[in-house]
Amino acid sequence: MRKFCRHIALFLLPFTTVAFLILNFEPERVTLWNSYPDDCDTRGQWIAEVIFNSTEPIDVAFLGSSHTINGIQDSLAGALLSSNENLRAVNLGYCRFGPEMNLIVLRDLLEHKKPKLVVIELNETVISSSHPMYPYYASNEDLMPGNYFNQNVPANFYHGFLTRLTEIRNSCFDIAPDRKMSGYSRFGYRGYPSGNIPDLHTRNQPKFVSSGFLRNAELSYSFAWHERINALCNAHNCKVSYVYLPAFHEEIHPLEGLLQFGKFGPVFIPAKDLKQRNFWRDQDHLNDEGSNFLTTWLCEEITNSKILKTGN
Amino acid sequence: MLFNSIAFALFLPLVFFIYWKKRNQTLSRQNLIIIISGCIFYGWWDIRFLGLLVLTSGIDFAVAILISGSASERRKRILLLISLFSNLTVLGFFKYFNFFADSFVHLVEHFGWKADYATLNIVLPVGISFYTFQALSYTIDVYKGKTVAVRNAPTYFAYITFFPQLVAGPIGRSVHLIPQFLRVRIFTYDNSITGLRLMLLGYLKKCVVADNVSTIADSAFFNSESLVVSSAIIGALAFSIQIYFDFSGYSDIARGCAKLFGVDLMVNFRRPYFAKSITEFWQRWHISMSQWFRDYVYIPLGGNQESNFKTTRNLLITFLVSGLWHGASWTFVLWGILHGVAIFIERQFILKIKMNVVFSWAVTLFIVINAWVLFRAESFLQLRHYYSNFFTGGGKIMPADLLTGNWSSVLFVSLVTGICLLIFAYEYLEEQDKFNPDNTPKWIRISYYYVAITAILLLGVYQSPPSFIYFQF
Repeated sequence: MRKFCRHIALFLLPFTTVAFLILNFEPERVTLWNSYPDDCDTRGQWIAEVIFNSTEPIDVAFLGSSHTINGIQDSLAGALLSSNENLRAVNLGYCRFGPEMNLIVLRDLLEHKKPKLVVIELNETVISSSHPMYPYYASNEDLMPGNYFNQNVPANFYHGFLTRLTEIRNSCFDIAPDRKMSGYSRFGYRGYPSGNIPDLHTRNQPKFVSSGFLRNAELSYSFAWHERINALCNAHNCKVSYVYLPAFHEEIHPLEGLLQFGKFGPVFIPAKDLKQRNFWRDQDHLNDEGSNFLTTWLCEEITNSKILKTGN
Repeated sequence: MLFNSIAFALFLPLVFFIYWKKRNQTLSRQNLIIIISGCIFYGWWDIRFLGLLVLTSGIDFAVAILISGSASERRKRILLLISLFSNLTVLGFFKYFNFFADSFVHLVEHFGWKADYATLNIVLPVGISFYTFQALSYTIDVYKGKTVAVRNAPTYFAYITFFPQLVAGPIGRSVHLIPQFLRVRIFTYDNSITGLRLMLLGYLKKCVVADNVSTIADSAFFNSESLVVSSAIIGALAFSIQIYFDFSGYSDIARGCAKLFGVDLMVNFRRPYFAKSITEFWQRWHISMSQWFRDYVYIPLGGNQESNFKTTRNLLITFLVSGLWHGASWTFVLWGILHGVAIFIERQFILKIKMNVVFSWAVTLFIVINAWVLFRAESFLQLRHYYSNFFTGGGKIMPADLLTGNWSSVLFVSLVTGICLLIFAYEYLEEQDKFNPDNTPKWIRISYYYVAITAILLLGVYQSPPSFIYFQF
């Protein structure tokens, strides 16, 4: 048995070395963002376009999930926030939850643009696992567990390894990337008719909101990632603020834990007016009218907070 | 837990290490580890189905003991019926309820009546056809006196839950397997190396050939309405290669994995595409299942010992049931019947004529590939489209349109095709008894291992790899 294990270990040594080298291979960022256009309605390609390909500046960036994608009209926000100078606002939301996704978008944003402010979405659902697309887009540095370990770290390494291996293979064989590889190509929030929105009085409490010890653990996980985000922004002289974007059926008052994000920057909590049924496309996402309302309100709040004007 | 998943890559070495860690091995410890690991392996899909597995196999365990302790033939028969009823009820409910309900409603509506019905949202427990058949073979063998009832529960449950063969076979026969769980397994270096070599070949077949070829087959069947003749032929060929490399790859991994734990599983494939008749094909393809149907369906029906009419009837019933075993769909039933009819014609007419070997092989392969179209089609409509394009063309999808993604690289295509041909060449030499890997110099073997692993890493499909085809049965 010992001899067998020794021989197997020796035999696998070259492969272990190669695997280590592959994990150290850093694929081009723009290639990674372009690799999964089927996921989240080409948001990856959009991020690649505005951060890497476009020469236009980004002054205000909105980061978050599909709530942000549907809730923030970036051109309107740019116009409303521009007073003395022209400001360009860009919606960099990416479907589904996970604070690490905000970090990797932000890292690329700060390296290529000089935003004055990033507005990050907060919501009731604090995810203590990774964003499903995180390992596919993460840089080598971001693949490291960092200051908080979660259940997906081993799987993230594995998927990160496969992403790098696939990149190497594609360049060896001159293969165009397979656009449907990630397996996360379908999400159906656009499919729900408005009639499916339940009445407010019949709404259920959010299913995934935990309580007690678990809730604190989830919040501290999320908080740890936001600490990294905040440190990164500070290093690039960029301000951070938060907007609370609940789903239609969720209470408008965020749980107390979320307010601790106020340590890093102002937390904007929308008025109850947002709960008008005609503002919603489905239970989770605003329609044009709703996003117009939210964007206008948010820009007023940002202007009133003077966060864009105060010095560092 | 899939054999081609990261979870299994971590699970297998861990179980292997725990299994062989102790110098002084005991039978109960080994069997207990097999049971626990089997439960984890199976429960990884859906822990609820573990209860189902334990329930049905538990009934069989008790029934077998009662059969062996019973002197009355009538009582034995009743006990056997209890076992058959419990296993087939569970199998029938989970696998066939919606199929028969839908078929009944369609039939009724065909006659102009209106039928209200509700099909249930039934999730098919993975591998249910395999472990049910394995458990059934045990009680039937005990009833027939071919094997003795096991009174030690861990031994019996180790036989049922042994993870390498739990979800997609080979369907272990109690006569062959249970004695292996009744004695302490001893670790041997050579056996383990042979096991790893088998697993490597299995992964090479699955990850490099089957998974890559599946994109061509999937694309062809997805576009079945609009294929040109050559595309339809390529799609059918691709699926024939995919299913063989997928399932025989799975069986190689299962056998190799079992060897790592000192257990020998039966050979499930013996180069089926070299068969020169359909009868021979079934002696080489999914052997454990073919033998199961032969021993527990065909022979009890009377086999070929009665009149010509009855032999034909038995043959067709056996293949019909075999088709249905594969899946709850009429296309599978048709696939089974087609093979049954082909064997009937072969026995009645063709085998009596002396034919050229190459011609026989080509005709057999033609029938088998055509039958795979039935097997792969998801509905009769798709089947109709596919066959009409197969013979008449008329679509727009050219072969080049099927070759997308990895298949757009000439180098990639050459390497995958080369590996596929090398495996067939290896099988051909094995068929001719001209090659035995154990007799090759060590440096050649080690070089092969390195090349094979590199090929799997460079050419395999990793991002959302297709599952094993036979897992759905």
